[in-house]
Amino acid sequence: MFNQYIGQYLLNKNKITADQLVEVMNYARSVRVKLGVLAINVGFMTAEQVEKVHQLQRVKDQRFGELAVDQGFLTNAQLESLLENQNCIEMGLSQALVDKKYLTFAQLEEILASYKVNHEGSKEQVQDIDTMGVDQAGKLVLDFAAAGEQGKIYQEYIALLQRNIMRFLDSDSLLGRNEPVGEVVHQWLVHQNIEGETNLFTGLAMDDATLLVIARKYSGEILPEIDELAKDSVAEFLNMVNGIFCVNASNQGMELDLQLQKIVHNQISPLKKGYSIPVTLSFGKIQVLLGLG
Amino acid sequence: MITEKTKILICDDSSLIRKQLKDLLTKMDCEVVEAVNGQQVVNVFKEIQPDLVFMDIVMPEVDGLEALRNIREYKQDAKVVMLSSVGTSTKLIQALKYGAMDFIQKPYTTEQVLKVVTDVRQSKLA
Repeated sequence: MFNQYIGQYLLNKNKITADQLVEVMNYARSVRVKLGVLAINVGFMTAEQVEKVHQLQRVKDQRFGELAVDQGFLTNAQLESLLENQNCIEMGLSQALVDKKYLTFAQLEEILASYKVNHEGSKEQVQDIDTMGVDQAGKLVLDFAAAGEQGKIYQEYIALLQRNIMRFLDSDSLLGRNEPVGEVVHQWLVHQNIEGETNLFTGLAMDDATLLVIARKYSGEILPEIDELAKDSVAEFLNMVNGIFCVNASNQGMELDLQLQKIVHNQISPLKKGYSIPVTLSFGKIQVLLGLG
Repeated sequence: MITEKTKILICDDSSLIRKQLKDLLTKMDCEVVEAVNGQQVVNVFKEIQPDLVFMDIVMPEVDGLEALRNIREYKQDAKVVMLSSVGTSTKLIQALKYGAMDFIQKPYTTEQVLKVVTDVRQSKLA
């Protein structure tokens, strides 16, 4: 709905022609909303700050979110919030307008501010629109109905993992449908148990090439081969995600703790009952292994 | 007048964390020593008497909270900052109870580490 409203507003204000609006609305259906547009929309960053980060991206091989945090334009919590809403299709038109160069970031910032003042009245209404985006991709693809009430834990974990894969490893990652976990020999399996009021096995299985790319991306180190540093890098990525999961659970009143990460080579997973969820990356594939109980 | 470098002991079972933290602290002109678990860190602490310890929690042999407690028993004014992915309220409370100076949740930022080092340096001058 927001896309249609903002489109109509732009037309009424003669900021865009009808033909241009049709063009961007068609494009908006497939566009991925980038963090810069989201950040401007919610007021976390100004257009000037977004432009500065884009300039830095041209010389530094770092993701938008990481650079924005390093520059002090975003906090980690704000970045997490933006990533949570990155599948928000409501901002697709804004992204399309910028991509098609019908608006600059500065113009977008001005339009959104003006639109909200003219159309949204109360602050609560503005916030409702801003939080309309949910992790739709995961909910559409995954089916944990067989897990009953525990399905919610799987869903929450995958959503958190997916956000951090997008943040640190690959913004174009795609979730596949979950399957029951099988007895498969994994070239590499990094796993860690989360224990406490609920017990969750978490594992990331991958081949040599994928492990090395993940290690390089997460650590930012030059890693010529799979050595202790490369393995520890992937283990630390899983550890970081699981730590956030524990903190989120603690904030909801559930106390959890982490056990040591382990990384095994050419072995069958110790998980006998649970799910395997494929995640396709631009450079390889991970099988996420999850099991409760 | 030659100023002594700030001596920092880092304890984490992850070689990635040890390397990156050491690189960062070295750029801040600190002298860095490493330990890989909660048992080793206590022995190294007694040996080198660092100005500051960065301590992970989940580690083999002895965990970071136990190591913190042991270090603080040995030296009551030891400065220990927990650097862990498990930033739950339970862990935070336990860490503060055992005398941790601060608790930083991973992934840490350069600013967080710099602030701690600056605070320690200033307290040395005072």
